[in-house]
Amino acid sequence: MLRIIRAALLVLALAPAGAFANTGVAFVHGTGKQTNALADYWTSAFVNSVRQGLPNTANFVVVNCDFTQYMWDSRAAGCLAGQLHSFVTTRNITDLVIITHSNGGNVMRWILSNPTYDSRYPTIIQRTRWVNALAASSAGTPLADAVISGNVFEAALGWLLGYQSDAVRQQQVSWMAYYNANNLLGTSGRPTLPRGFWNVVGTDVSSAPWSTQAYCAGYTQSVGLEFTQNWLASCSDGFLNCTSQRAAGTLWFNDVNRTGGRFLNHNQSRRDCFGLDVILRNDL
Amino acid sequence: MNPTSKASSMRLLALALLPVAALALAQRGPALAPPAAGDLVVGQLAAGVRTPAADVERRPLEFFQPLAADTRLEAAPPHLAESREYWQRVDGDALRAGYALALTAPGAVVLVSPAAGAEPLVRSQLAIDSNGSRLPLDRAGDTLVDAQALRAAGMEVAPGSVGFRLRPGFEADAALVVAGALGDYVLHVFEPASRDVASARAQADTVHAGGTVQVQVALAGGGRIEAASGVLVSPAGQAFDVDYAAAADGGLVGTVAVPAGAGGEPGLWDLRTSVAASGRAGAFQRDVRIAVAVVAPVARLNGEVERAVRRVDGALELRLGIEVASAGRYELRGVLHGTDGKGARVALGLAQAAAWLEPGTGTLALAFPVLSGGSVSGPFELRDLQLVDQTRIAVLERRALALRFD
Repeated sequence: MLRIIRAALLVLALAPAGAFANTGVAFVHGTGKQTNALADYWTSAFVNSVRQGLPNTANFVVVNCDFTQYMWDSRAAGCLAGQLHSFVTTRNITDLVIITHSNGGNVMRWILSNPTYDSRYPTIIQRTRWVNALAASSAGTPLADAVISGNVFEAALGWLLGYQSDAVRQQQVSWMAYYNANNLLGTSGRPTLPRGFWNVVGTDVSSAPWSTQAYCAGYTQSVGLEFTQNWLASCSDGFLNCTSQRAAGTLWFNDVNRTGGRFLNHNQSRRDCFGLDVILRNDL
Repeated sequence: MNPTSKASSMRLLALALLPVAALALAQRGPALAPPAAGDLVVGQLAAGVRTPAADVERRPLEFFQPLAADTRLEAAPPHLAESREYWQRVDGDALRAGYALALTAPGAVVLVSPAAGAEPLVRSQLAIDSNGSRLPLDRAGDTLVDAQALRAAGMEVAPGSVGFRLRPGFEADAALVVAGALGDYVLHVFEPASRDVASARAQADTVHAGGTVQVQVALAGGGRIEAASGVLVSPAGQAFDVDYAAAADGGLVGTVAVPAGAGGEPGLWDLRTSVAASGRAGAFQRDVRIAVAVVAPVARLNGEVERAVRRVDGALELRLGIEVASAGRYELRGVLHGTDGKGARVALGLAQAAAWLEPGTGTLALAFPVLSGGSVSGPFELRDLQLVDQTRIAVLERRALALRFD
């Protein structure tokens, strides 16, 4: 109920949509360079399920960008802005729901926080209803620190353990603390974002072989996420602490509160696991 | 739907693409407030800083978003980093012989990663020496995992890495043995249950080129710092040694000067401190890292302020003078507060304005539309003012309270 009320206030304040809104949905992937995110990142089953909530099920876009770069890079936010701007203008989308996963939330938050950086940004912001941020990496992750430390690039040594992307560097905890305090909106003590940023939080990982929870979206991923939890707090999705997932915007729901008590690990929160697709579909 | 609010914001956005409308009787002032403790202010400008070749927006843009009246802005102190872990570069000879892990608590999480050119590892190669016995990882450790599983989980470890968690009971004298290790490896030991925690916090999260980065380092848990070393590393990989001195509170203060020509490249600088300490369980190591921004001081507020009401939409416009040393796209952003009928300070909204500026004197104007509803009057305050170098992704100046006027 609170989410609905908040949404109504935002509509009043920056009113992008009226009674004849043309609703669309955009899927924004996480860290990585995607050329076929529909198949490789989200899966067709997930996207096709979610978009059934649209009045016109063809009004969707699955973004493919290079999110191995810093969030502000032309290949990251620039690419994202280009695809979203093209989507809303060519299809006359006036009511855009953006679904992000992991670091995709940071790239989207760069756009929302820096509307004067790129002339496409204000149009995107004005036509956006809200962002549904699945497992957002808003405060970074100790796992990024773990792979960077001991491997920090030095000109005299190069990368000791192999190249690490700028996106991984950016998601180190102290780096995201800096960007949240200086370049991004929506965290505690900062101005709010111009659009709602609603977090879906994964709170644990199930990897027991006898647990059916562990198999949705791949058992191998669940095993790895069980180990990575060692670097994280007791509340985490295996890649991100719950505190990071909640750091920006507003909590929509913790996984167990809407999935019948089942966890959404970091891999499952971008798949049609435990009814997540239906929840997102009904939100449109 | 509130058509006035939507219309105001739409007009504001539209104005960004038109020549600046004539102002109604612009007046000088108010004066820029003197900087307060914690503010970031540019001293000497740096000319001739290379303008990145990146595809930078050239159109002037402005944006306004209303904020809730009860918005409370609070500048966060520099990030406090805490560490219960260390990294060590270890060669294959030492790993084959057995490398002491120097643990302080049970349940250590260990990750061994081959450096470039080293032999990749499999789980069966690893064992633990403890209490005179050599035990395979299947017995001494649990939750064994290889690089494939970790990379599938999104943790980008080096190929050929192996991770495990040490079972309780081995922490007193555990040594890691890796049969067949060849080349250099990075050993990462994380002790989630340890009470020995190193912490680091920079004195300021942003430093202008030519300035000094200062970091406070402390060790909690009863241990004593025996020695410390560290480096400040730029995004391009230049490393500068940090000097450490004892602090009055028993910790350390690290200091490192930043070259005058630094900054201008994207990304943050990484200050790494490695602490050798002794505690209840013997000698141990902690590595702790923080990030700081090193910024080329290519522009600054020059103190000139003009205030006017825009004819076309009645927006309050605050025009601030900018002294520019290097061409680039610069942005000004700030939050306007007013006073409600009860005399309380209330937030009105966040305004942002950006434009390409050439060297010399320029101006950027923050526009605050007339907001209908409620009774908000002066005194007004412009708070949380930032001057940002959008070309180089750098915050140049930051003032908690910039202007106050009736």
